[in-house]
Amino acid sequence: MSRLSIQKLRKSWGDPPAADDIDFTVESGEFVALLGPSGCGKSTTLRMIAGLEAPDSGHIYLNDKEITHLSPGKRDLAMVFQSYALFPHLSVRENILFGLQVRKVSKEEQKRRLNFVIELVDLGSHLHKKPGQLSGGQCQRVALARAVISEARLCLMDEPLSNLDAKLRAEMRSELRALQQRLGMTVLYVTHDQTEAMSMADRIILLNRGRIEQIGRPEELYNQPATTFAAQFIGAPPMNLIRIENRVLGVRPEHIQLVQPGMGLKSSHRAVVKGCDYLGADTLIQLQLDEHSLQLRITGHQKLQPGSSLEISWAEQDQHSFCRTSGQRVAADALQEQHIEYTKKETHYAA
Amino acid sequence: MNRTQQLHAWLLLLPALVMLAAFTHTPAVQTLLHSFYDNPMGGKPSGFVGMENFELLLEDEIFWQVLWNNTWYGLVTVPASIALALTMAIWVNGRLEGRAIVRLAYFTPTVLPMIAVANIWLFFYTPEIGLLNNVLGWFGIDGINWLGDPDFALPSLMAMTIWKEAGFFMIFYLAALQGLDRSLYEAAAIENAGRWQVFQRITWPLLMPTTLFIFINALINAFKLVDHLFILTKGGPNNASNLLLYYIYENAFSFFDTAYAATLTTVMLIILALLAWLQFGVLDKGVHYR
Ligand SMILES: Nc1ncnc2c1ncn2[C@@H]1O[C@H](COP(=O)(O)OP(=O)(O)O)[C@@H](O)[C@H]1O
Ligand SMILES: [Mg+2]
Repeated sequence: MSRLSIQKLRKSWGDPPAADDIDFTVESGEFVALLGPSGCGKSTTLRMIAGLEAPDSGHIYLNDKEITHLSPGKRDLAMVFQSYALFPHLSVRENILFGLQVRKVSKEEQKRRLNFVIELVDLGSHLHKKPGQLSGGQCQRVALARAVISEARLCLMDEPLSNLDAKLRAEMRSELRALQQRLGMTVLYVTHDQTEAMSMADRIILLNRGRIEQIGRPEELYNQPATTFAAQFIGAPPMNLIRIENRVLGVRPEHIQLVQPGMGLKSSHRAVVKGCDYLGADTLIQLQLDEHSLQLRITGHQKLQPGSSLEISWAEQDQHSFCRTSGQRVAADALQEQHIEYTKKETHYAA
Repeated sequence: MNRTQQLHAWLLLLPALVMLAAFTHTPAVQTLLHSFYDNPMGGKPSGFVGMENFELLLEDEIFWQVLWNNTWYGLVTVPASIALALTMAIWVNGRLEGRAIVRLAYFTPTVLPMIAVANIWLFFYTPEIGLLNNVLGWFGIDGINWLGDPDFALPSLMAMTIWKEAGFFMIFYLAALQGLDRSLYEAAAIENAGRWQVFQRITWPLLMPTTLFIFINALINAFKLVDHLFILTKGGPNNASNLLLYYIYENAFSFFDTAYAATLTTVMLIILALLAWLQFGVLDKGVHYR
């Protein structure tokens, strides 16, 4: 039912614009993440949709109705703020009911919705406390409850989990996603954390310097990054980029394999170990391949002496190629003609 | 804390304690004692008279009038100046950037002494050439002797006090408004809360600590600030605009009745103590502090 459509949205406070040429849709019941580094214009975009910031140009539609110039309260949407924006002098109960009271919803309806929401976010025993008496996670739940109880068509969230510690953040992540699916909420979720976006979102809108870099499902962004920026932003540690002539070649650290020396594999390369980071489940190895620095991720605890050499290889389908000047992905067909760049260097090694 | 640390602490406190005792506590206690004695007369030292001074006070019509004047003065000027200060602060807050307000707070001319303010208002109120009567004259209304008419003298003083106090209190409200979290207002806007709802449910309760602070200050000022009386009315005509502190001054330095002045001062101290108790004991309980 609820469908958000953004067309050519732009906002600028100077050069470069904070958001420019923003075009996307959010379908009903969809969880879409607005992802990008800090300062790339995520909040600006979200706040324009909420009506807290006036766009310079462009259009916003919610269910085919233009809302570009409506006041925030008339747009029928809810918002969860990064700072939670809970009213410090009101109890949890009053905080959650604030919107319904302001909108003069009947007492019975208020009670019914409150009971439902309280159950949902598990706040039953804290109803009469003030926000100051709650933990970060509990404040987060109150903010969430306040958004859910409004039964708005669209729920906007601006980095709602960023003030929580790592463990709680991971918990809330799955809880939030489960809640969204259970209620069929339409959510536009701002985050700078790619893990958060990858694990929660149906689709990701990747933003860079106020512009959209790529839109797609998480696996699309991972498997077919449209630009070198997308390639490096999605995935941890970031994709290795090797600059060769007019191309940039990309391989993810987890896609590089170790090869037994002397196996004579045609596409293997010899690299020198620079250092190891043990991460628990796996080990991150820094390598020097000719003049390029690479990272390699292998499972288990691997102790490798700096200076020792390794034989590495990667599958052809795990290799990405980008234009060196524009940073744009080069299509697979085009790749076929040129064939894999790095094998050329190999011949030099074999010689 | 060990002994040396405690000694150290007391030593550090000592200068302040000595000053406080010498110039505040001792005179207060002496005044209190003095109110049970009569005036020394012609070489005869003052003698203990028990409650005689207080009996005199209860029969003193001027005392009752002055107390009544002062009560009225407080009841009108305190709420009016608070309301005016808050209105102005909210109005200005929407139009000024944060830093400008902070600067304004520092360099504000509202620290203007009461005497100076009174001189300005004297120009407004003067019967023949005064600004107010001139303005009334344009509309063909007869001028009023603002400070000379017993019906208008006290209200005229109140108007000036409200003007002066409101400007001063506005700065406190402005600073408090600047400290409020913007996102609270955005959250309210998304819930479609109207201006009045936002004021009533968010701004007013969050400003409560400031309001309480201002309220107590205004109340104490209503008893404490009498500088303008020296310039404008000298308590007249016929005590119509006389206030408690000015009456104390008159008794002590015009009539040289120090015993009676001490008695009046004791009453004043009791009133101020009650006001302090009102703040700390009663009002503080219902306020949300951050
Ligand atoms: N109110 C404002 N006035 C001026 N510049 C702003 C304002 N809000 C944001 N910006 C600028 O716009 C850019 C994008 O900001 P923002 O949308 O908050 O980024 P983020 O992606 O971290 O949420 C930043 O360079 C920021 O400095
Ligand atoms: Mg932001």
